[in-house]
Amino acid sequence: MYKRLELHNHTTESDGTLTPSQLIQFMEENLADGFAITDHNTISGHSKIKGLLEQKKSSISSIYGMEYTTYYGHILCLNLKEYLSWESIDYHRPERLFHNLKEKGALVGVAHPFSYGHPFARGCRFDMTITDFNSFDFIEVFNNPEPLHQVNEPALLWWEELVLKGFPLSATCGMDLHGRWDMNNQYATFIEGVNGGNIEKELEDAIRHQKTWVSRGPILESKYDPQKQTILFTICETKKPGFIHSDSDRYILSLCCMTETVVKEFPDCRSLEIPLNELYPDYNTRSVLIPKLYQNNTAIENLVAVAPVIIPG
Amino acid sequence: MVLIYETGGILNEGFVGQISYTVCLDKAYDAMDIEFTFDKQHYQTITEEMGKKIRESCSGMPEYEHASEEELMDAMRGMKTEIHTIVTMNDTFIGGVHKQLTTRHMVFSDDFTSDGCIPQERIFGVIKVTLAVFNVLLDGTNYRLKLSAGNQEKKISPDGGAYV
Repeated sequence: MYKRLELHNHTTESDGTLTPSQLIQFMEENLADGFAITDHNTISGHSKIKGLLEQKKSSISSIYGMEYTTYYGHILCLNLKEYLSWESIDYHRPERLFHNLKEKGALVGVAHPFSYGHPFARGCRFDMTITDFNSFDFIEVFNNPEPLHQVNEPALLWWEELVLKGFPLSATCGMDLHGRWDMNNQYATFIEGVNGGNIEKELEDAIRHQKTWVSRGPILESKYDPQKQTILFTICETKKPGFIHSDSDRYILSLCCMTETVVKEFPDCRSLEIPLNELYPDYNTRSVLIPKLYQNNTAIENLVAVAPVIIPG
Repeated sequence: MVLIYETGGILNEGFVGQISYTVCLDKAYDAMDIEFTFDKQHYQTITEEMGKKIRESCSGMPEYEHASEEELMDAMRGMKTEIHTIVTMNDTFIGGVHKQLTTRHMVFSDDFTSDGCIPQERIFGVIKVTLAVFNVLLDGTNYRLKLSAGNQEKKISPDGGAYV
């Protein structure tokens, strides 16, 4: 099954307006399978969420994290077991903090890298110099409330550029929720999991293996068939409420690799099989593929979903 | 609650960094209140000169440098001096406040804590309070820090959680 996760949420423990209890209720009402608590520079909400979920016997899963809010950028940390100090962060070597966090088992990502920053909102933009792109795990390619063209599109392009170069980075997204905000038609992160599965483990597996989906609603599945030398793409519906799509909207598949982007329209059956030789005329130069799903055309406004990268064997 | 330490200081425009205070408690307490205040959070008036200075600092930033005067003024009105407070006890994190309250309390006890803080059964040893200063808009920004602790009957004040 696919699990929908909301990975970026604040509570009254930092600057949100929802208490931990209200956050749980809000996520349950919105049919999320799991959510992260990622308050700014505190983990005080962790025990509260844990206690409340145990009390309620709720089926929703929680992920414990924090948004490291530093002078030079925000670092989203998931599966965080303990608070590690960030104040000695080095503008020129954030990898030191990434490394320390990863050593403790946390998943480390860059949040809203192109957000507006200094002089108006110091720290919101990621200004640090990263030289080792293997040192962190994911990039938040959609921070839903942020402007599409100025903030989210550059983040998506940055992630694409890095994964096409071969860096093992996953794409995530989030609401950066600070209140009872409308989540309809907004991007959420999806991972594969099983009913009652350990969400922390499932998230770790997904992020470490670049198996995350970012979507407003449907999932774009892909299956590589080494015998037939084809990739089968299928659109699968999810229970995420609020996705805006009408029957007249055509689904478009975009496959981006190092050298070109192939665009194909999905037939009504919502399945499309593409021979590899259409994508790679030269068998020896198979690079990573980034599949994306659009409606009607490939303008960023019409982007429905980003699927995990494909690395044909 | 007994006042154990009180200090203050003045921040200059543009300062970014930490100021830490370390207090060695004389004994174990069952509650602690750290009160932090600062002033001049926003520009009180925005002069032409200030606008010019901000405009200059936006040079080379495509998202700002073409902003109209009105947009720039709006953005400047929204700017703020931003200070986070972080507390450790014996080198273990026990609380952090991101909410930009100009008067804030960080109250710790076993059954009540302020938002951002982690309940503590006993308060003892070495308390370190760090002011993480993200942004200072104006020269002469004053701040004060008070650390109180006690074992008395607990009662929460109506104005933000301090023990009285």
